[in-house]
Amino acid sequence: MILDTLQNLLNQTGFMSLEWGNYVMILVALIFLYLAIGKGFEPLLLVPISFGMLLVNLFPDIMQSIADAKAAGNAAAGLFHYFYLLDEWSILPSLIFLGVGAMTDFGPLIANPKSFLLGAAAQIGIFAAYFFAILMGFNGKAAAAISIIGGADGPTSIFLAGKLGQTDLMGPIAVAAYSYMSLVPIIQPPIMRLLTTKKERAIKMEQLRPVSKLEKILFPVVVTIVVVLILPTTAPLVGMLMLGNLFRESGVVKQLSETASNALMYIVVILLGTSVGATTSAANFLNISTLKIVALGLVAFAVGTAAGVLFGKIMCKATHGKVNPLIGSAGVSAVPMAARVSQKVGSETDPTNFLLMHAMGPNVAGVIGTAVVAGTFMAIFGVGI
Amino acid sequence: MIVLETLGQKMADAGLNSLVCIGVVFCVLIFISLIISLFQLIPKAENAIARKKEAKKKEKAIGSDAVDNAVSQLEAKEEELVLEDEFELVAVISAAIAASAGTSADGFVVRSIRKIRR
Repeated sequence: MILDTLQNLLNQTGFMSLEWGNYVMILVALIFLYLAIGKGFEPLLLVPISFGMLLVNLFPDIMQSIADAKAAGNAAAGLFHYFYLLDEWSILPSLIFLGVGAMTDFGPLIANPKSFLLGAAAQIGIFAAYFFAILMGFNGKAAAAISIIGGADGPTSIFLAGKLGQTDLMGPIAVAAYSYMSLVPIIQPPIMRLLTTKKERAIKMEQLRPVSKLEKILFPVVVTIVVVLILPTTAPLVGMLMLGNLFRESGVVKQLSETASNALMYIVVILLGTSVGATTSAANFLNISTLKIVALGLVAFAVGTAAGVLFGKIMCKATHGKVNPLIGSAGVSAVPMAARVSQKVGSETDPTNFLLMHAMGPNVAGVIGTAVVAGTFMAIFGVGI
Repeated sequence: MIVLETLGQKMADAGLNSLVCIGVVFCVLIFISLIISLFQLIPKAENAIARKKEAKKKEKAIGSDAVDNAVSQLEAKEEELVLEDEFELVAVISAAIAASAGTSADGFVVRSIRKIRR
């Protein structure tokens, strides 16, 4: 009797059920934890993601689906599976957008609406990756879901993967998207320096005009009406982004604005981070598709950055040298990191050059641009809300 | 060969989708950009309205000043009239002050005479 009990206990331990892949992923999770805590590498995201990765590889059933749980006679499915359903149903990405809206000042974009063009140009990287993904053998929907990594926007990537039914690829896509978002300061500068001359990098831009409170209040309302009328599938993302921004700018709902940009945002990051990390079980993650996705993400990012800078050069020529092409790279939407990179590369050439506010325009336009691309892909593939 | 054709077809579809997507993204963002560029008229309109309001306020202020002036002018005229009526009294008071101070009555002017209520 005691021997049977001991045998059962032994069978329950991780040592009996885990495979070599799980141990590899546990090692990867520990490296990520070290990068987050020891090196301060995007800790807000990387700590929950890597801990989710650790837990799912120690105990894969923490992601057990409801159907599997019923089949196994369990009362409930795995904890992270419930978190993950919130990703799959687009609830968490949309709530992240609410928080981003509540934290974003669209003033620089309102002051210089031409920035929208740079925000659109930087999305070209997405289509380069889409093309390559098809070439690598992914089907259309999978290619679209992967390519959106080029928008440097984690929530949109998760949103589109869920909407296009690419749940198998959601883990690698989300991990690649978040990894590349944090690698923006490393990937972008060499491309920016390569495509611009020293003279172009030194261009000082005119100060932006002040934007009135009424303009800032009208902006989210007008953008919502225009974008959602044209592309109704973008309503969850653009709608929540603009609702968050209206909370911020209206000035009459400070409690809602603070909750959306602080408490709620962090709750969502915990749920989203752990569940995204939990999609990286060895069985799902250690395969050739993941490597392809990582490579395609890099292509998307690099081409997006290059397209933004090249379009910036065109605008520089068109305005007779009034636009610094470096702000074009901020069109990939990693807010505010991409704008900071523009500022950093600009100040390397001339320490008195302040491009940050100018780069914030294309940067926030990129968020809207990526959401529009996601909505267009959904429309093309006939996916509704 | 069949695989190549299929891939070719897929790539053609991908190219078409990409073109459509890029076109839509640029159109939507350019459209918003145009609408937002109209926003620069908002502060101008706000300023114009604010200026109109200020102008109205000023007009009101000038209006009340005019009334005040008229009243004070009337009061001054009335005062003069009162003093003219009491010319003899003024002469007596002037003479008394001049005698008491030891100067001539040219050095001061009696502007008003009021009774002290006791």
